[in-house]
Amino acid sequence: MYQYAWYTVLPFNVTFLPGEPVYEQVIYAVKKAILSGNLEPNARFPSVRSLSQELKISPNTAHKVVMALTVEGFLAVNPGIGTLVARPPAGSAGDRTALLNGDVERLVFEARQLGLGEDQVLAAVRRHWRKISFPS
Amino acid sequence: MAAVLRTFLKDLGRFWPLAAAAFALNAFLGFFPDLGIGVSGPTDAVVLEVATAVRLLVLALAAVAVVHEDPVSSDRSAWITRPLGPWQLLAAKLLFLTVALAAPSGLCATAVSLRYHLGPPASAVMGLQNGLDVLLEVAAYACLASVTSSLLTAGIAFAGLTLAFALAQPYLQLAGVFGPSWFQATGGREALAMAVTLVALAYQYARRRLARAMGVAALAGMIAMAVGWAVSAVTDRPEPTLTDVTLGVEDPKGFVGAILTRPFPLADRVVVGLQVRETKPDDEHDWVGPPLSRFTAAGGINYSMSAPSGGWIRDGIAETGLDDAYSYTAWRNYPEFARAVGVPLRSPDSAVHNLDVLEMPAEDFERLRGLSGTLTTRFKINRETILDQGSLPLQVEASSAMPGRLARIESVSLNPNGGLQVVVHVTDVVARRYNYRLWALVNDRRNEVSLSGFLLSLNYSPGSYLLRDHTDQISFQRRWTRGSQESNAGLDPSWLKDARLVFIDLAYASPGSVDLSVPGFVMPKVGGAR
Amino acid sequence: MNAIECEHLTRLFGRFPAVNDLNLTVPTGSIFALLGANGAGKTTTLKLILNLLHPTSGDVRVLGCGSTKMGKEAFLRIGYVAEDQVLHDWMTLDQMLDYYRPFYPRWDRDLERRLRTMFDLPPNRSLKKLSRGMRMKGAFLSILPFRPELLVLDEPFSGLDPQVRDEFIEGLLEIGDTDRPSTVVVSSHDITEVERLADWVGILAEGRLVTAEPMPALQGRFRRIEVVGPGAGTRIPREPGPAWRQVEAAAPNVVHFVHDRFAGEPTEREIQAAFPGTSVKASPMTLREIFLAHIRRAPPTGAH
Repeated sequence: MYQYAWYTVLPFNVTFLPGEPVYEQVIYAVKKAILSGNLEPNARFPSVRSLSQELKISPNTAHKVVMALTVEGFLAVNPGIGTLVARPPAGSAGDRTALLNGDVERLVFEARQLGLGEDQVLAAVRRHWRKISFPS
Repeated sequence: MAAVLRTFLKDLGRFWPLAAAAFALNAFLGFFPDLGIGVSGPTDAVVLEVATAVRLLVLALAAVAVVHEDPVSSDRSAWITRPLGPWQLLAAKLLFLTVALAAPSGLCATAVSLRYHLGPPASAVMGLQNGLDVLLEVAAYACLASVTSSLLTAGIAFAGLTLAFALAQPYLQLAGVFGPSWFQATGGREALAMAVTLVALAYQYARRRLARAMGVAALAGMIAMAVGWAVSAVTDRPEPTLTDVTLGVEDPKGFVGAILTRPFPLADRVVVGLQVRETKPDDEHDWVGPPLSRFTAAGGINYSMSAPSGGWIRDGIAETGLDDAYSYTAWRNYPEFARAVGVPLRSPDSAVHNLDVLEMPAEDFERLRGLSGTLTTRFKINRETILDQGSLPLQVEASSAMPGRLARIESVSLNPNGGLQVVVHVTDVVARRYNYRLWALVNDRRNEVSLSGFLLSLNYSPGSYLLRDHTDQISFQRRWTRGSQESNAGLDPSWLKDARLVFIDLAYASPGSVDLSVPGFVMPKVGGAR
Repeated sequence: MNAIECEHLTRLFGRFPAVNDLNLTVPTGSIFALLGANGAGKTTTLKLILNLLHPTSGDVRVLGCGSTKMGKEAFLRIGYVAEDQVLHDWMTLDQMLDYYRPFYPRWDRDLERRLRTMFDLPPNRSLKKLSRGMRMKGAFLSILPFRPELLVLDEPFSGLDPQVRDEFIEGLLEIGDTDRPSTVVVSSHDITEVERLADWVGILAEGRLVTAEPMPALQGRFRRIEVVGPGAGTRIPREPGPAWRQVEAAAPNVVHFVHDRFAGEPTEREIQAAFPGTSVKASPMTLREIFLAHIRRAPPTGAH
């Protein structure tokens, strides 16, 4: 597995996992950043060109990302100003959970393979929850 | 175009050392007498040979390298995916060949000619001819380079072509003998070679398909030959009826070799030539021909030859290697001949100069029997300066219609046995290989002519400059009446009084010669008048 | 109009078909990764596209023009960088740029300067004295500033260190314009480099195109399937179906294979149905793994 560096020029972080479509991973990262509040509404969002250059992805892919996020309401294109972060749409709680689906699925599968039970997994989750402090 | 110029300058920036080396060698070969290098010692000769060879090598390398710089027969060339069209590239390469290689060589030739007092117009001509020669040479190498992509493959291809050319020699000679007149005329073959070269080069650059380029070159060559044949079929003059010893129209057919004429024709004066046909050295030939007298070297022995009734005297010298286009035959009946003309027996091998043997098949002679034939000979020559062997005359006492030739009559005297001896000091430009000069005394009043022989001299290999300064002893002993095969012995003073000395340079096919009048010639008195 | 269209493109070397009836379309504006093993025909295909080689049969249209008809005007819009291209390596970087710059009216000097700074090349040393990476950077530098509409790269990353590769990709992404999209065709062994960058993938094998599709589509339909459950190894179907590749029993109750028509839940259910009582895990595959799956088609192994 490869992990790419954090990009501090971009206002969000992407960890690329090979195998998943690049645009999906970027969309995921942006949504995460917006939903967690790291990317605030009305903040400037990087242009397609910047995205492409910073992430080293094709401009087409970057364009696809911006389009998808705009359609879903996470970004808004203002003529003359550029792309801005929009207020996350309603019903985002469900969205947030959906973002983690893949991770949860993987966790459950690995746990089952190792022969762990549901309680053990939940206990592990609780342990880690208390350990990591997060700014609210 | 800017792109062409830029590419040319890029190549120049890379290959100027080679171009400079070629120029330096040219200068050396042109001016080495001034450096104190003569032709006396063997080392000097070696130095000149080496310099000549190296010059050729450098020119070839430069031409091949500049083409390989942007290869045409490779799929890795940078230029193919750039906005540089193949014609622009070809133009840039030709520009290099012309400006960096051919032009400096030509300028050198001009400089050398001027240095030898040849006068600006002649020197300019020399330079132009030399430049064109070099251009053809390097264009041929460029052609080779355009179908290869490395020096190694170019070298192999060159070796292959040389072999093929050597094997094709007999067939080329046939073309030389039976070819159309333009093929043998000055620059005919060169023009064909240049045309084929340029067409092949252009095609290879445009299409980059090797096999097709070769095919196109072959096709172009054949079309050019066909056109030439058609043209000459229309323009070739019919064989003239030979009725006169006048020195008239030359018959272009059946000639061996061709004269490279100067691009600027001279006023028609006199043409003397002899019909020859190529034969093999081993063939037995009856040595026939119109009357001709010749002499060898400073030894001053006159040989003359005539066709006595019932048979004829043969003479000649066996010689091979001068040029395969010429035919030679063995001495035959030399003792008989020597007795007939009353000259001391002299071994043909000790002849200092190489004489050409001129002959024609029996049936041609039969046709001419009873006629005094037109003597026409054409030989392939080129103009280059020659080695200066001594001090040059500063005054010219005879005019010359041929630039580059200075002749001064030193003395005219009567031979004891009834002939005329003329000593001429000549400074002239000698051909690459051959220099044919003929002296004649023409007596219009009596309708008779006395001829001296052909002087053939071998000089340095192509590319060297040689200017010759020498004294010739020319003897006239016999004379022939028009319409007669018989020579009449003796040139008595009264005959000589009405004679004019004519100098004919067979280097010029468009006839070029000059009347050298002998100023103040007074018939010397020898033992009373006859 | 597509940037490149190859129709029944064939190129024989003697009797060997290096490119064999290839039909390839490169959409305008895409970054197209051309993958293939050594000898698959990648370089030959690219050379045919650029008229470095002539096709034996078939034709190629590049930016709307037939490849054999491409002249100066076409190459104002095309850039080519290849490892085997012979540069004038006696020149210095400055000399090379001074030579090529005037050919292109649209040469962007600002971009040239930016790239020069980024690539950090010595301007006055002759190219042949530079390392391979620097020479490739120099070649790039002679191409990118005129913002080619089509950029063709043949193995641009081979032998280069990661930093240089990054610089290349950055440079490459600089040339695009909103009003004039750039198309990039990259052939590479370095599949990881192109995985993130490319949005189209084509795979060549033995001169033929095995597949050509958008990257997300390829990534979407390939999954590495792991079936875990008692007796899974004995249940491998005799005729697994065309979408199942390299089926093998890793252990008596573990079956691994690659599925190349994965469509999400329906496919999972289908697999589940073939292996009742097991758990099925479908993991995405890296491009490298997908590529290898194309190259090696191992026959499905039977049950023990």
